[in-house]
Amino acid sequence: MFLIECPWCGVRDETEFNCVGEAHIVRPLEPEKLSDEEWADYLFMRKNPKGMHREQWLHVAGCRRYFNAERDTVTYRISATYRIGEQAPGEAGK
Amino acid sequence: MSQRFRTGQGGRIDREQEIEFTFNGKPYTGMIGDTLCSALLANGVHLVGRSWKYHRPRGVVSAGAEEPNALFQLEKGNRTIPNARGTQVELYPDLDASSVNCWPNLDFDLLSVNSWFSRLMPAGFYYKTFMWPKSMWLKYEHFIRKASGLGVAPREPDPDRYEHSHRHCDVLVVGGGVAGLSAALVAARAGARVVVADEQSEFGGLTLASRAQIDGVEAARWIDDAVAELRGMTEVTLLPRSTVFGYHDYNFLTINQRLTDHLPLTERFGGREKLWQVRAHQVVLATGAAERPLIFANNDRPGIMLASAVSTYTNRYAVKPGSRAVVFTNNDSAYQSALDLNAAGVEVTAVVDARSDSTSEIANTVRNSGIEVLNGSVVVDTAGRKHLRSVQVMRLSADGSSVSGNRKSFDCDLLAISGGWSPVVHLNAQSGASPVWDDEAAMFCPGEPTQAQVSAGGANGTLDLPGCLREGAAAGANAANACGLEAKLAVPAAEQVDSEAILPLWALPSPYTRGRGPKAFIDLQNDVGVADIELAVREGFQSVEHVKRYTAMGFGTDQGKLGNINGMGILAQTMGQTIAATGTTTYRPNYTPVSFGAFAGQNLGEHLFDPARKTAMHGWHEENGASFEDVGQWKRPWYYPRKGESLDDAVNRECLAVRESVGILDASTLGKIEVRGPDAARFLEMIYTNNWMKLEIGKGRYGFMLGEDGMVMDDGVTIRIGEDHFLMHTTTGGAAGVLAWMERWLQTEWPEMEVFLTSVTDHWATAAVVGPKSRDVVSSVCDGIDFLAAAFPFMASKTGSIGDIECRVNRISFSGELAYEVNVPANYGRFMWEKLMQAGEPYDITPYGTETMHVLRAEKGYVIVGQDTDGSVTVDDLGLGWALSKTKQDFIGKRSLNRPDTLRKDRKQLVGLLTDDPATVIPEGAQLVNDPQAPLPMPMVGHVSSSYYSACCGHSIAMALVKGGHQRMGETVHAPLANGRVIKATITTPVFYDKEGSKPNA
Amino acid sequence: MPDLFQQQSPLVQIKLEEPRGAAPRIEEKPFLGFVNLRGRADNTGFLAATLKVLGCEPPTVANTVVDSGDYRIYWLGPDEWLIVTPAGQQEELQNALQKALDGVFSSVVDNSSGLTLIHISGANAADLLATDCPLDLHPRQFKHGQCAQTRLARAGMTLSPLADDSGFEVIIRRSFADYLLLWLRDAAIAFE
Ligand SMILES: [Zn+2]
Repeated sequence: MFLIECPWCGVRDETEFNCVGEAHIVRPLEPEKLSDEEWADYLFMRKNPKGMHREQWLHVAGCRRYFNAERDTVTYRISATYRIGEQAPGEAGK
Repeated sequence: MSQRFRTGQGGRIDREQEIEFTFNGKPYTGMIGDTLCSALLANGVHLVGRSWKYHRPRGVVSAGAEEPNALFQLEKGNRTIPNARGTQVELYPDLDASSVNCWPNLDFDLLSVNSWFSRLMPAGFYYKTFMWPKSMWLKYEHFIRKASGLGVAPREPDPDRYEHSHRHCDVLVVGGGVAGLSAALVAARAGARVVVADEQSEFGGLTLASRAQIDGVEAARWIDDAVAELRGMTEVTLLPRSTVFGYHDYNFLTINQRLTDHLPLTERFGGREKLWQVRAHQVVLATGAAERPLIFANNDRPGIMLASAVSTYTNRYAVKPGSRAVVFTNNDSAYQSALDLNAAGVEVTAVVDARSDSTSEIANTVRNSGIEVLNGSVVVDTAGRKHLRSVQVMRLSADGSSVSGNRKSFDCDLLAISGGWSPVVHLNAQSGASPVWDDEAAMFCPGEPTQAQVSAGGANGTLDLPGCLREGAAAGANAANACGLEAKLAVPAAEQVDSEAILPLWALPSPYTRGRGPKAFIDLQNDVGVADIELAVREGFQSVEHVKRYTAMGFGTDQGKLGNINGMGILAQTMGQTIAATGTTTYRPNYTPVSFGAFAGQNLGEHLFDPARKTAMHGWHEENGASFEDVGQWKRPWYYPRKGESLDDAVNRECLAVRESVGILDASTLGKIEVRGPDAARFLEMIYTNNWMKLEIGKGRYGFMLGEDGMVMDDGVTIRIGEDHFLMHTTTGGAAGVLAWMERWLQTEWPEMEVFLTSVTDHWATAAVVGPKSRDVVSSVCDGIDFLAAAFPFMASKTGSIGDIECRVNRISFSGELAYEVNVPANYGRFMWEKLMQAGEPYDITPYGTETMHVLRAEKGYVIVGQDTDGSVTVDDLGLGWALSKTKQDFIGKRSLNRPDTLRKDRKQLVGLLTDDPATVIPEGAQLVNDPQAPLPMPMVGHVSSSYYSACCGHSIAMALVKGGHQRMGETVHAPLANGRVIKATITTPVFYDKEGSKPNA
Repeated sequence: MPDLFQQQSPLVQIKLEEPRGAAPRIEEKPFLGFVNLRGRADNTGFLAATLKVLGCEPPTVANTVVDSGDYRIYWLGPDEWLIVTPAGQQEELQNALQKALDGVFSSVVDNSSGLTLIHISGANAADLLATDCPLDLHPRQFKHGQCAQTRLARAGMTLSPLADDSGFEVIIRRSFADYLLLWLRDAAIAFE
């Protein structure tokens, strides 16, 4: 059972949150101009990595904010959480 | 006194309180402070059960959680407990215990015939024998289950309460032995919030059976003082009788505390068990170490017991576990048991030590007390059917591979065995670490922790008393310091006793030809022997996990606590590899079995299992005889039966009343969301499939929301209250999801949009007043609104008042009738409802529930999202393409409407069905086929999503999703039912009533 | 002013009894006003307008609650607050806020009938909630002046410690109120 640090409320129990899937998926600006394959890629294709994964979470029983988390899918360690619009910590050095 | 084997003095039992209990129907006495096993041993009862497979006679082996044999059925009726470990059952007055696994009884067990055929029942026997032919398995299984069953689950409802509690702490100390107590003292003195959990009734662990001294006083006294000090500190929680059974991520541990099982049945009040869910900053694992048995032929007879258990029974429970003992060991610790027995007046015939020499001080003390020590020797066989009678000893070769010389026989009724110690690494392993094999100490030690955790004392492989105290204190100090406190290290003092190295032994050499001799058991509960492991290896199994499953080693209620490490050693030995390379099986929660009640807690029954959400008018519905239906978590009136009415009767009556006069429905459960801000309309354009920019203030519009995949997700009417202000209605079940969905778009994708969303579902109570007379009813209740059709047209929304109370009236209809939805703040919901009922009296206003609502809307072909759609249905599939904007450049899901799959002509499409027989109602969910004579598997062309009898139409009506259905009007489909009946139906439009749609506009 | 006698609290079907044994006291403070306020905390116009009406700016420190005159203002999110008013004052407040915030991106929504407020007090108040609330309720961690939205059993709640560690103020949704009170009453048996 995770402890998750909501970027607003601080550390809370996992049961206050929902995971809503992979983070940083951007809705195409002009969907009509996309080919079927490109649209399907946006709709369906997800990374599902073994190791570090960026996910979007919702503090559903708390402040109702969405935020992003970096979580290792093997060890279950959450190395960072950050607000929407903020850069992923792992990206900062690049 | 009948307790013939009770020692004259000492122990932690209360000799003043003799109590009675029964075992297999026979009366016995014991003392308060006894366990069921110590009391039975005090009475000289050694045969306590039968093994699982061969039904061999078995006795008490241990004094703790690892006990594989002494399993009991406690009590009868609704409080019966199966498979209780008698080593951990505290004795209470009138306890009623019986053996499990015996049929017809313990002394005469018919199934022990299995034992004679044991050579014919090797590992994998059940797999090989009973799996073929497959069709026979169910018959075999019935017999096997009867033959092998352990205890019996209660058949009546559990009368006890079970409690839960969350707990946060700085330091959780698991295990209240001397290491754990030292840790707790140091951490607590530094001000830490400390929880100490121990599975026994008393803190102190194995040291309760020790005659050593700590800080200059008897160990037991030191323990009492430590517990008293901890009990006096406000931030310390002491949890006795509490098993930490699970160690999960982020230092989340689960503890089951037994609150009343130690009390007589008549005195059990309050919760029986309490499940603690603990979040700890730091965890100290002081779970101790468990002694291992030695593996030799016929090592399973009653009277063969772990040496440490012998000391525990002797010292802690004041019981002589036998009259004449032999000790068999490969290490120093069992010598103490010889001394303990000697001190208690039990004759110790010999100490058989596999090591060629033993020169430590304690070994010499044993020799000096007149006990013969046979070095370089091992026990090779035993005798005695229901109780040990003698053991046979031979010389062990220098390399340990064979035995030689004469068999020396020793008469004895007790054999104390010690094969070394295994740290209880279960929780360390559960927490994500991999236990590490220590070759020198011959034990698996805790692995590198992946969480904020440290192991101390026996759990860390430290077996000497000063070491346990030292490690415990250090662990407590480090844990407190890691929490930002300043701990002062204080190590309790104890005398250091030197000891000599262990001689690791797994399967002992035997004088018998391989595979011919008597069984040597590794897992006593599942009757897994050395030969079974060897067979598994011969048959090609190599992984320890596979060998475990093939042989069933460690499958019992004890989960292999006693035997698994030996099993791994023997597997390594058989395969000619190291134990480190062989590894362990996976340690999983739960450490010991946990009752279902503990998990369920108070979350039981109609009111507490799941939230029942109620509207402001719920009390009225109850008082007026409504039957309720669960819609999501809501309790909604389903129908209001009058005396003698069936569901069908009531629904027919309610439907006709609405169509002919007026009905009233509690519609408060619909989701309601305020959408406000300068970009509100622009936002709705993206969320809904139709146009919103030009909607007039005071008007509502029906809309569909799609997922980005183009499938219908929710629907409802949204009203424009002001230029930048909308009130959205969602489906009852979809409210929370729709709000989260819209917030997600606003927060993550379009943060520049100026829109705020606020849920007001609970704030408004809504009554839908429906039918030709609805205008008369509503207009007589609501003031300040012009109800003339021209002034208040269909899909308009107006505010007024009921008395002093503000109300909003929306002229919307989900029935095809003239209808108004009246909303007031829910505190006034019942007031409004009763006003409307009163005003409707002249028209015989009829309250109706969800069933009638469903029929009315189905008569009109209105869909219910989630019933007529299932996440794979588009707006076009529903035949409602008019709701899709042709002019908007984009909305959520739009692009998906052009995907090849969405454009398929043979998609399932919504149609109506009319049965040939007007009275026949097709069951909802029925599959549809074109040709009911087609060979199996019959191609299915669709399914029925909604189906009712329509009193208004005078025939049944159904909605169905049929492949290419829109092009099949007038064609026939068939619904073959499970009972063999086939219903024939004709495809039609789903609108069955008022096809022109003039009524709501009246 | 609406006729207050026609009101029914969400707990109309629950009878709250005197606590037995060491069970905490559970009392409803019915019919209070609850006004949901949303706006951007970096919008000076928003802050100025709310300051004028409320007598203070809405708290911007997460999970805090401030008192201002008759109003109690809960932080619910970085752009969301809940203002609790004495019974019957919600309409006046709503009107005043709406007027002051005219032209400012904001939202003022009356949710007075959607919520109710209870006090849980007594020595075991925290332990009662801890029966199934995952938050650390220890006074070292959770003090008067702080608040939290979290869960109790399978429903949400907004929680704030009362002064002097005497217990907690708990705001719950109308439709879940019945369930939560039945649940609390059942949990309280452990302390009787
Ligand atoms: Zn939060």
